[in-house]
Amino acid sequence: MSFIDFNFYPLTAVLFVIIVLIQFLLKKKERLSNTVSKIILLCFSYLVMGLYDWRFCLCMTGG
Amino acid sequence: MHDRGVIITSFFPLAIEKAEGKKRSILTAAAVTVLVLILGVFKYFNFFMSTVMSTVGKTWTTLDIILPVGISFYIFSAIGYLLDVSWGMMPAEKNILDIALFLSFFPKQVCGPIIKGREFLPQLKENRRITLKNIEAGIQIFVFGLFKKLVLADHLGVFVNDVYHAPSAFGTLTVWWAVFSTMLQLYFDFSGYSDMAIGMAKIFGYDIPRNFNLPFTARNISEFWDRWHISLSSWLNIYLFNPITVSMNRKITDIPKEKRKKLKNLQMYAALLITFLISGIWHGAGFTFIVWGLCHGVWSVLHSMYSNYMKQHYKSFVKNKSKFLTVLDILLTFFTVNVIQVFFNSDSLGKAFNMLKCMFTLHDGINQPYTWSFFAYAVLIVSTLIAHFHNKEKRSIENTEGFYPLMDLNTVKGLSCFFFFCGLTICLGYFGETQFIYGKF
Amino acid sequence: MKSFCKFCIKALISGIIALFVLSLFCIMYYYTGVHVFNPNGATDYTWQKNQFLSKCTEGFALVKMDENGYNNIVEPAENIDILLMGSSNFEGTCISQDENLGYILNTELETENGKLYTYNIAISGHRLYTCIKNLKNALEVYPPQKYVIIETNTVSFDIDDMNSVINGTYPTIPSYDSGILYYMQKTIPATKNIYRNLDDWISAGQKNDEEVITEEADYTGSEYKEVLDKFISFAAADAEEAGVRLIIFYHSETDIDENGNIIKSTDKDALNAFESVCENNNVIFVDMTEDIYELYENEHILARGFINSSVGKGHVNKYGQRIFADRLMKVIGSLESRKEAE
Repeated sequence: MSFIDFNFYPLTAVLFVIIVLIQFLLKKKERLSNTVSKIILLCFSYLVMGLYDWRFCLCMTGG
Repeated sequence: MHDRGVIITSFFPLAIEKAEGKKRSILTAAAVTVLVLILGVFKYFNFFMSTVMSTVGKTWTTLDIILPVGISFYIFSAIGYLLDVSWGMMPAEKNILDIALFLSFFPKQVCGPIIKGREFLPQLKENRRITLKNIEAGIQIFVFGLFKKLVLADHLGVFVNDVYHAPSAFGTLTVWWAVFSTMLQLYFDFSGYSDMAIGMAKIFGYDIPRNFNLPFTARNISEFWDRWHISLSSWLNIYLFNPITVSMNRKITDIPKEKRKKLKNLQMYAALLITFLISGIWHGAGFTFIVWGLCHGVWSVLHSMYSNYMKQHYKSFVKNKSKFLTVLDILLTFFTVNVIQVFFNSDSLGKAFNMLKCMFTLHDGINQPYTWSFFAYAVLIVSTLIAHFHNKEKRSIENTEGFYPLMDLNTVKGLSCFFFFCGLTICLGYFGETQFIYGKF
Repeated sequence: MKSFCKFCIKALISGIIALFVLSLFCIMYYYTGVHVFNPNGATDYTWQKNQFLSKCTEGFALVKMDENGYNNIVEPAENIDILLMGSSNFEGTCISQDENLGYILNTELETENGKLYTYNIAISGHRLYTCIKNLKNALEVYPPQKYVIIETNTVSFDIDDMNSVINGTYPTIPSYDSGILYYMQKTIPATKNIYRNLDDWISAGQKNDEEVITEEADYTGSEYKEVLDKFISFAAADAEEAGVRLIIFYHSETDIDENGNIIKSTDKDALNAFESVCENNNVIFVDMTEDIYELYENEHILARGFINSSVGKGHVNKYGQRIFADRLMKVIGSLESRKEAE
């Protein structure tokens, strides 16, 4: 799934809202907010890759 | 496979950082070899085996090996990071989460840019947040990229694919027009993706370096590669060309000065050829890419020779070149890049030579003055001129830098322009079955 | 909160301004107006009367519909001699009105008895199924004196679809001439273009996910031939009742192979079946395959495609319309001569 797939946008919008919420709720705990945001971004990156083919995730982790 | 993978880029640098001398070199070489092997198996195994087998007169049944999307990009990112740690350019990253995110960051997954560890990993250490300013800039850059891809690149692709599919059906002029549209299509497709990656990363608070800088204003091949696919050319320069020339130079330190200068030049030419050959191979598993890379390599060598000669014998001419000659240089560079691109765009060497034959022989055929190509050229020329005159301090070709004309989205004027541009992108966009060209690399 | 509300108001005003400017652009670039339900049943829908249409997505055309909502610019004569029915290829909305089939026939078609007046009610989306379904009504509303010509770009038909036409259950093409969709299309010209492209974008993603396997009919089978015969005789009967000759006009899609040779993609069995059924029902069958082939071989021109679209694909261009007209003039000319001789 890439930028030219329409389905990318609703998913990215959800990601955006989740990260904004996390950063808002954990405003005072900067390190935790940063870590959680990065975890969510990582999960989303793997999700995007997995939507192409689940095996791509293995290869990515392989590199 | 999963565990071994993250381990290579996470744990090897830690071991490399602790090691010294020969042990460090061995560990670095081992890690780089494993990464190159991963890339080699997935991307080149079938091509390599079929070539070897056909050379010895046997057949090879292609294995069904998946080609992971973006593998060429993240493997190179991983290698770059390993070498940076090995050379002491940056400390090894201990946080496995940061390494995983550095390699898999979704905006740059499909077509890069090839981000360097020393540029991106420090950003992951900072408390990067989503801010209104970043959203404002990021979303506009993203939409620029979307316009380039959906409106310009994909429409150009229709014409380019028609002609490349059956070049002998088209008249000579049309074939040339398609060739000049090919490079443009590739530019808008790839730079469009890069802009979308940059914009998307910006929205989430991260900075990705730009990948293109008005490449068609290049006056020579060397400048072209400074402006085209910058992340790859800088990667090749730092991690391939420089180490090759440095190691070659080490071997000739005992030779007299005069001879050493000549040998240095020869070594540089050899390094250029090797670098461009690797660049060609990186782009794809096929002889067309190898030939394409070699053509750029040969041209770079010739340009280097010419440059050195001119600097030696016609220094003042080179320094005070007229605008007319500069424009001629730009056109010649553009022309040659487009002709060499035929190899890149063809499925096989046979088709590439057929295409060249159709270009260089006069023949009748379908005439197709594809209007989207005219529109794309108009956009390119206008945006280049805007970039050229944007630099108020010193208007020269070498100082012409691309920039994003961002609007202030807190004003009605800015928002109207932005919404209109979004609407225009959707209205003019081509929504057939297309993918990103560099996505297959 | 205050600044957020301020921003929302700015965004709303900006959106309206942007939509307005975009609509101005779309009026010239792509504005196909509204489908209006056609109560007389000659076609499923018409465009609005005297509707201005622009289409620059494929070719460059600015067209004005006539008082009935069809694409005709020649002043209507008292009697119609030839009625044209078909889809957007016959309608010719991708080309200038003085280059389309109807106009050429009206200006150039002459027989020994004088000029014949052609009226074109071809309209986008009306394939052969729809045209045969509507034939009776069309012949009543726009009664031609001599010929009714129905265009088709395929001779391979689906048994179920043919049966539904015979049974009177073939679906009607929807119209959006009331309600919110109508007002949006009328007042905001950009709406239709944005909707169409967004729909294509969403569908493109779904197409990649779904593998559509279509089963081709057995064109040599007795069931297919039987249904096809009923289907064509259904149309032939309507034409006979109206006292006109039915001409079915076939033009295939074109493609060229890697060597630059045109690919004749018509299924031979389907073509043979269709030809024989037309002959049995006294329907004149005009096959444009060779004419399209000759146009390409002699002049390197494909009958479909435009300077802003894929070569050889999409709608029929002005060259295609020209060879259509030339062929029809020959066919009608020889039919008229034969009548005279009799």
